[in-house]
Amino acid sequence: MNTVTLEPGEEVLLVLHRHWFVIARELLVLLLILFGGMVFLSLRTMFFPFFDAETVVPLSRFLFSLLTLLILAGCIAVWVNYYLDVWIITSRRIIDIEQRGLFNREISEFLVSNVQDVTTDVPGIIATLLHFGTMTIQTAGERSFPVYDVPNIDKAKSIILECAHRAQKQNV
Amino acid sequence: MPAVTTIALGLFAIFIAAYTTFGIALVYHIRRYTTPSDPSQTIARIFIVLSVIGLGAAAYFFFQVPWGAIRLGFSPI
Repeated sequence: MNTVTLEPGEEVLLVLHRHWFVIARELLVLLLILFGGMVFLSLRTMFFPFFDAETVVPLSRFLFSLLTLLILAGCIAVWVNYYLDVWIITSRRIIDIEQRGLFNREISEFLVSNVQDVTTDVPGIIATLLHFGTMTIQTAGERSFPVYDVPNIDKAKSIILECAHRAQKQNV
Repeated sequence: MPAVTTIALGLFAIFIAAYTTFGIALVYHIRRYTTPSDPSQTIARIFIVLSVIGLGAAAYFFFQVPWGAIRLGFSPI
């Protein structure tokens, strides 16, 4: 994002966020919690034999409004955590920006010319149907960089390997 | 002011303060780490608007609750 400065002659080839299924799954959980709250709100009459109806009705509305606010904050937090995780593949570097919660951001980068091996793993039926998976990039320093939930994983792998081969030929 | 009302008001104030702080932190991250033309800026504005509406609604429903009629503990038979 705006924390990345490109070198002269360097161009951005691919910008990847995690696959949309990841955020959809997390948002679905939040929406199910909200739906549970709506069901509870509609069933508040079952508390009437035990508590005053004039108290239960406004209290349940108030508590549901608080739940809605919490769900809203949860949704935006899920979005921030998803959207600020990004991989930028340039003609010279691979930049891995990982947002770990709030006020905790890790940026790793390594030269494309140091890439030795790229392994892809597409686990399960959903990942297979939606074409996303885990990509592990091995560098010359024998360090491994796992990248999770990568969309269009085959295309990303091809671009990285193509850049790596081109960079290594230039170095030779 | 009855004790229940005071406690409820205090807890609600804490909730508003915590929610506002958390919301500001989230919006800060979006503004800090995305470009001005990024769609996330629009999402941040929508979140702010919905939060203001939600907090207003929560405050309205809070004052609808007859806190003075709520008793802490059990009444003797």
